[in-house]
Amino acid sequence: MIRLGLRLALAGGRGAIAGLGLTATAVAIGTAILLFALSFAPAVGARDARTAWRDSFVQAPEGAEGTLVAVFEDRVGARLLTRVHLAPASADAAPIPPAIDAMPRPGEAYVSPALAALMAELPADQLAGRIGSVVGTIKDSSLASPDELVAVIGTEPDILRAYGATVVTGYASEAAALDLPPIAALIVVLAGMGALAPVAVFVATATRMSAARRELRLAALRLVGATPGQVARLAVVEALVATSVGALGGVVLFVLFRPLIARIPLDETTWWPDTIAPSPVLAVTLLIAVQAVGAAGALVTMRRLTISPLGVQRRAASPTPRAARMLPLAISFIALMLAIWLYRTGNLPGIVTLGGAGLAFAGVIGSIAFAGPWLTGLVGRVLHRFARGGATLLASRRVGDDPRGSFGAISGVIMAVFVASAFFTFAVYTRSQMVFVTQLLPPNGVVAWLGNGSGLSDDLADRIAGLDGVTGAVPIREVGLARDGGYQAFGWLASCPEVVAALGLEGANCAPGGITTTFGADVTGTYQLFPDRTDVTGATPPSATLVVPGEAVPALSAAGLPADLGGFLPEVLIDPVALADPGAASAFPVTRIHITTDGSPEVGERVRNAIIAAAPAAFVSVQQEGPTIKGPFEEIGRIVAIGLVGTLALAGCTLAVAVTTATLERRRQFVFLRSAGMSASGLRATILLQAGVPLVAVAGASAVLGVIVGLAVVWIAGGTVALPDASMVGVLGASLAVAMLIVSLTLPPLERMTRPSSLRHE
Amino acid sequence: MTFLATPPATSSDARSEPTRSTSTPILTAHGLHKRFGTTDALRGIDFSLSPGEIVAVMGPSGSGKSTLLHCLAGILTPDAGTVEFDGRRIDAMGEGERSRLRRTAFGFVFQFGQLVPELTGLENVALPLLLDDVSRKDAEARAAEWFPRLGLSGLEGRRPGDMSGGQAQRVAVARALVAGPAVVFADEPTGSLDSLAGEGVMELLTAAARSAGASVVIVTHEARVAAYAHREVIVRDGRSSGPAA
Repeated sequence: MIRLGLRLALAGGRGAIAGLGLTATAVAIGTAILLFALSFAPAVGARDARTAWRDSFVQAPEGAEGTLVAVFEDRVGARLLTRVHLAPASADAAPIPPAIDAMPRPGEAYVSPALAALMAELPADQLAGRIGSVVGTIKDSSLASPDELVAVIGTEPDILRAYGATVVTGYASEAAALDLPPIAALIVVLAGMGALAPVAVFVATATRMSAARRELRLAALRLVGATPGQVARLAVVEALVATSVGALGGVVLFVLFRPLIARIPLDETTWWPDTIAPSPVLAVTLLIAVQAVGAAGALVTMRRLTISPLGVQRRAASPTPRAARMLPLAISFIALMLAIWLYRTGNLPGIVTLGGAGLAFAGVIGSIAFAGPWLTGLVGRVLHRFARGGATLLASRRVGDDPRGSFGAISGVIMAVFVASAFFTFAVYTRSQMVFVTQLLPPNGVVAWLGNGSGLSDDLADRIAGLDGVTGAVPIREVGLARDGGYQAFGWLASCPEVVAALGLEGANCAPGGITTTFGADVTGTYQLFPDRTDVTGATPPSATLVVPGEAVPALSAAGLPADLGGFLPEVLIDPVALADPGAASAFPVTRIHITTDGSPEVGERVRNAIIAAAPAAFVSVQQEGPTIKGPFEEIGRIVAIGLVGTLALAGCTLAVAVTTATLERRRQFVFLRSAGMSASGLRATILLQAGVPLVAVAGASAVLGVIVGLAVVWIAGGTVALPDASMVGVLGASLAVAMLIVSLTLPPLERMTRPSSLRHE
Repeated sequence: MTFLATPPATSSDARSEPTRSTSTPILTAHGLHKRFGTTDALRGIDFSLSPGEIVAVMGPSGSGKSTLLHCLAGILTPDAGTVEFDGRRIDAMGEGERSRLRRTAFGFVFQFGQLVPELTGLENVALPLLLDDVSRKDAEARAAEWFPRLGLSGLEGRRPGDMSGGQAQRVAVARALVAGPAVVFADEPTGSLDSLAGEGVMELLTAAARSAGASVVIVTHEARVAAYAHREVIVRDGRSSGPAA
């Protein structure tokens, strides 16, 4: 029977092979996507393990010997540069990171190959100056990706001590567990489930592609005496030919595309191709599951048919789907809300409730698949009521008569839209969780600021001011204002006009008395000033007295001053001359330098290079690099976005495959119609209407449902509820347009297959 | 282009008084050649059809009679030779123009399976008009007029799957005639019917076409079907052996 099945599948002529090839190709694409999906977690794990040596340390006990380590994130242009500064805390027993062979001495550095290449490319005063002299290369096994910019720099111990660097006795070799907030973990679970559903739909749809031709063959077999059971077995064998070839093709596609996928950055870093690999157990399970889906699909198809010796007939149409199909959707929605509420209250183990939420979300997706035909049928009936032309009539009747089939064609897109809408809603919430370090800079601005550490000074500001292309450098001392032993306000000890010029706040007015508040802060009174930074050296901090008379502190005002400046500017700008002892100002450490340049990127890099060389712990932002976002949500958002793009593209492919299959099943009618004068544009209109109308209508409903689910999840999880912005409509609209574009790609071959000259074959 | 504005009244005996028109041919073909791969389906056939004339194209299976019909109807373009309809070269037209011609000037009846299963009888008959941008209301009104004339009353709302083979073929005849064609092409129109139903369909087809002034080209290998025609053209091995005109 197996041999006969193989012979029927493979020896059916060019058409049969083409159908088989199309099915196998679609299965291969779906399999490859699933293999990449399964590779994601191992790839992240492998990457984290490779960089664990600089992310996680064995900290030395108080007073113990070891290595002083400080890690800084820096930039070269738009590229991330990780600087790992090392110094032996004592003469011996200073462990060396596994990334390098020997402890670099101050001024020496090991660099990654990509950084070495970039250093050779850029002038020394733009990059090499902050790295030092290169004495070796960081091992590949200690880099997150081939193009990662990393430097391990030998540094004077005192500099690192001043920064408060960690003394370590060892370096981690395994990645620390990702510490995600509960809602982030939930989002990851839900995103994973949401993304995989359309892939499964795609694979299942693909296995239907050559079914019509297969059914005719099987009818012929019934004529010569094959039993229904034998016919079913033959159908399974034929389906397995396509899925096994497809699965194998999927592995080949996976291997072929892995180097390209590895170039897609996540967290500004690409991948080592060989780390993108699923666990063998999961990979084998997947390949078996694809065969199971193919075999099950063939059997389900056979159940819907009566293959008699005289031909193939579809079973009598099932009753029209009823509105009761919405019930499971409501139930699974409530179950999802309940699971999230239980997760939040912590009354049950997190793994149980998280798993429950995942299952409930899967239930919502399944319920959409169940309720979809009812809604699709409704759309078909409404369309038929208002149909005017022949194409609309044909499309509406088709949709209304076979809502299950019509929904099957769009189910992949519908589920993707649901998942996308839910996550757009999550995204609004996650953005509200991000910590923005706003760096408001004019287009030609550079800012350097210190957290801990030292190195910024008036001298450095003067030196920077002397660089070619630099038009100004303002040293700023960040201070706290204390009264009655309590912290009252945050201030900058600097010249107000110079700050206003450095920030490009044209038209802003500084108070004549030297004390200017921003946005109307009330700082009237007498204050003690102290440095607004942590001094880890134990030195006595400087202090100064400031008397602020009420009438002397007009608010900084400027026409068109950005409203969000309040989060960036201090509450008060204090000119040193306003202090009781103006000379006391110089005792305060410079913690920021605002620089203006001619705006060229080269000058910006030169400034950054000079500052980092003098103050390795300084953070330098050149021009407006955009807000620095912290927290795990950005990462998750990016993962979700990548997943969604892939999912929606795949869903478009599903739609194209389904439309092709449906049209081929009705090829005979279309050939007759076109022979009788139906134009090619009429055929195109019919196909596009048949796919497009239910797609847009049901996708709209799905998007609304997705937003409701997203809002409900955020609300129950205790987040701030906010509607997604217009970008959601834009992205979803564009995605649907892409889906329809993919469908339109099927039109030329369908036109050829249904051209009137094919009539002689009918 | 509409050649007939109103549906005709049917004749009680379509076979009576078969007369041959002697007016200028409405459809002519000269020296038609058509090859599929290594097979010559047509080898220089000439053909002509006068207004109101009914011609049966006969011949054994594989003789090329369907290919001839497809070339005459602009479904296939011949490799050599010309096909003229109403003074215009069909073989030189683009597919779009030929589609328009088939939609407006020709009607088609095939052996079986030509009705759209999702549409009702009325919608199937109205379809050519809808495809020609006639409003749905007008199209269905015009389609509805054909049902009593072809003995189809009560079948307007039925789907093809709920009709007998003979009923479905009569609906196909109505669909072929609804747009007022100048020529109806029928390819084995009774091939899937028993003799009684086949005769019923042929009587209705020829009578309706005659009273509508439409010419008919019938491809058949059945002598009793050919008997409804004014003239027979025999095709054998891609050549015609009967009178060309």
